[in-house]
Amino acid sequence: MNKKLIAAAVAATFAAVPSYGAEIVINNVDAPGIGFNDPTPVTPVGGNAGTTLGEQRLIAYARALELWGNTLKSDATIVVQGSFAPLNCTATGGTLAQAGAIQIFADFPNAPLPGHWYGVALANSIAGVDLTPGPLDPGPLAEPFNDDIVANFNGAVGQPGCIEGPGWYYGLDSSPGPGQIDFLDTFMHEVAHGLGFQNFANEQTGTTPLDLPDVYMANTYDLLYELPWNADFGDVNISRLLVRLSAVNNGNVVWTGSSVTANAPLVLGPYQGIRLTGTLNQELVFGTASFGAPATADNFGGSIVIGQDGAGASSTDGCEPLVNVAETTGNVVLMDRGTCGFVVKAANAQAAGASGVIIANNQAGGAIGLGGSDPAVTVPTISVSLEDGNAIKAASPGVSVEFFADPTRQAGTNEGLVRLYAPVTVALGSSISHFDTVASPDLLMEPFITPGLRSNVNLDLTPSLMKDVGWQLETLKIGGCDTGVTSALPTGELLHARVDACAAGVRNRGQFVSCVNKVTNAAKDAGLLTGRQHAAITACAAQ
Amino acid sequence: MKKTSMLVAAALAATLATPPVLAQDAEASTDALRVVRDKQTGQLRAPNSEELKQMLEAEKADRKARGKPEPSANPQPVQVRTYASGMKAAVLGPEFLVSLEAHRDADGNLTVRHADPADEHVVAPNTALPTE
Repeated sequence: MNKKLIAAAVAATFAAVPSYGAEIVINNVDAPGIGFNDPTPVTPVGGNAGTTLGEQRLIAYARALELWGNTLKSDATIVVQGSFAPLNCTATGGTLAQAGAIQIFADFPNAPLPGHWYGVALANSIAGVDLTPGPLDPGPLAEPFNDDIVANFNGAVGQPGCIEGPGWYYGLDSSPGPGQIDFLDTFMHEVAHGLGFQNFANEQTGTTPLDLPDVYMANTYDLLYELPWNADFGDVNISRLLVRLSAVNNGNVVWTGSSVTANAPLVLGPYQGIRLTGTLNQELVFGTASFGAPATADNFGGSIVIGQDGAGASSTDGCEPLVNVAETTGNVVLMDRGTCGFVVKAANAQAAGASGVIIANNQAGGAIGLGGSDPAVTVPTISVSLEDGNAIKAASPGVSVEFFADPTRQAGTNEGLVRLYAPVTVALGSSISHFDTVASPDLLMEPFITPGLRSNVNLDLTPSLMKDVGWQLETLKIGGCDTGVTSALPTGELLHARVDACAAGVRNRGQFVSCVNKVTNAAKDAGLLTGRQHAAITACAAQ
Repeated sequence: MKKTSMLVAAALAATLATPPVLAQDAEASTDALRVVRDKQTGQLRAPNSEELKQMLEAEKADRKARGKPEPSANPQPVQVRTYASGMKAAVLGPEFLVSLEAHRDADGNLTVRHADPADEHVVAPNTALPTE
C-alpha cells in the first residue's frame, strides 16, 4: 500500500515523464498515525504537493530515493527502511537522523576486491542479485534483516519539547525558510552513507568487522605514511594502528579513487590559503571564526605584531585593552588563547586598530574553530596551532601574513587528491566518512549541511565517489528512450533532475524539447557533454 | 617493511615527549609511545611488528593481572554469517549508524553535529564551537 501511495504522489508531482534507474523503495516501519502516517493537515510547499504531514514526508523521502535511483544503476531493488517516528530530543537539542547500511557483504559474486566489505545495497548492485531476498523487515532493525539501508528521521523536531523552533522543510527545491532544516539535503546526505559513502572501521580502536577492510578504506590513503587504509601487513595490530594514527592526520588523508580525482578540478574552486612571509616562510593551517568578517585576500594580510595588554594572567592573551597601539594599528595582531573569550580578544585588537587577528592555540590540538558572537566585532580573525604561534613569535619581528589563492591547486585537495575529513580529535560518525570541510565550494558530503547545497539538482563529487567504490552510474532515460549518456555529469549535476524540471514547467512537447535542448547546450558549451551526447539527449526528448 | 618502519617511527616521533609506558589502564590510548632498546646498539628505537605484538600481549596480561577491564569495546556486528561459497555477511547494529544531532541556542541558532560531542558543525552562527 505504501508503494502505491509513493508512486501516486511522485507521479502527481512530476508530470509523467517517467525516468528509469535503480529501483529504491521505502519500507515504512512507522506505526499508524505517526511519522510517515501522520494525518496532520499541512500546506503544500516547495513543489511538495502533500496535504498531510505524513504525505509530505513520504513524497520528500520518495523524491530523494528517486534522485538517487536515477543516478545509480542496480538490477536489484534497494530497500530503504524509513521512519519519521520521534527520536531522542529535548527542547534545545537531540537526534535529527540516523542512517547507514544494515548489512555488509564480502566475497559475494563479482566482488571486485576479495576480502573487503561492501554495503549490502552496493553488493547487490555488483552481484546483480538481491543478496538478502525475502520479505521486508517487520520493524526497525529487526530480523530477518532483508532491508538494505536504514534512514530514520526525527519527526518531532520543531514541536514543543523537541529542538523547538523551525523544524523540517519538506519542499523539494532545496529552499528552506530561515532556521528550517532542509529535509531533502539532509536525506540525500544521510542515504549516501548507506549507499557506500562510509567505512566500517572504528577510528578510535582501528578495528573492523572480522578484521577485514572495506572498499572505502581501499580508496583512503595517508600521504604522510604513504599507505592505503587497506594495506596488508600480515598483522592486524599494525593495520589497526595505521587506522588510529591516520584517522587524526588532519590534511593528509585523501581519496585516491580515479573518478573523484579526475572530476575534482571541475567541482572545486582554486585553493585558498594563508601563508607567512618575511623572516618565516610557510603555509599555515588555520581555523576560522564564527564572528567578524571572513578572512579573504581583500581584507587579511600585513605585518604580524604581538599584541600586548600589559595586565592580567598574561600580557599576550589580549584580554585587556592593548597597550602597544602604535604597533598594532594597521597590522595583524597575534594573541594567545586563554583566560577570556575569543570575541573579547578580537574586540580589543579591533579597538587597537588591528586589521586582522591571529589567535594562537595554547594547547595541543592544532588550529581550532573560534566560536562566539559579537555583532560589534568586524575584524577578520583566524586561529593557528600552538606550534605555529610559537614559531611566529620566535621569528618576530619581521613576519608577515598574506591570504593567497593558487589556481594550480583545488581547494580541499592535497597533492591533487581530495581530502577526507580527519580532525585532530577523532569524531566517530564524522571522521574519514566525509570530505574535508576545507573544500570549496561546500560539498554535499562534508560533515555538515550547509545552506548553499542544492542536492535536488547537484550532488557534486558524490556520484564520482560512488563510482569509485563500485557503483555503475545510470544513463539518462527520457520516457522509454535511453540516451546512453550518464545521468550525472562529472560535476555532479543531475541531468535527470533537469529533465524532470523541464517536464514540470512546460505545457507541450515542443516546449519540453526546447527546455531540454537549452539545458544540454549549456553542458555541451561547458565541455561536459559531447556533441553526439547532446544530440542523443535531444533526440530522446523529441520522441 | 620500510613503510612499516616509517609508520611506527612516525608514531614514535609524535609522542617522544611522553615516557614509554608498557602497562596501561583500560581506555588509555593504545597508541602511546612504545620503544624498545636495541640489543645490539643499546639505542632506543621503534618496535618492529613482532615486538609490538609482544608488547600488546604483555599489556593485556598486565591489565588482567591487575583486574583492569579491556579498552572500550568496539561495536561488533549483530550477526556474522559465512556461506559455503566463502561469502561473508555481517548485520550491523545501531552503533554503526551515522547519527546527526542538532542543538538550538537561545538566539535560535542551530548547530548540527554528528554523534560525537567533540565534533560540532555549524548550520547557522554557532555557539557550539569553543568560545575561549
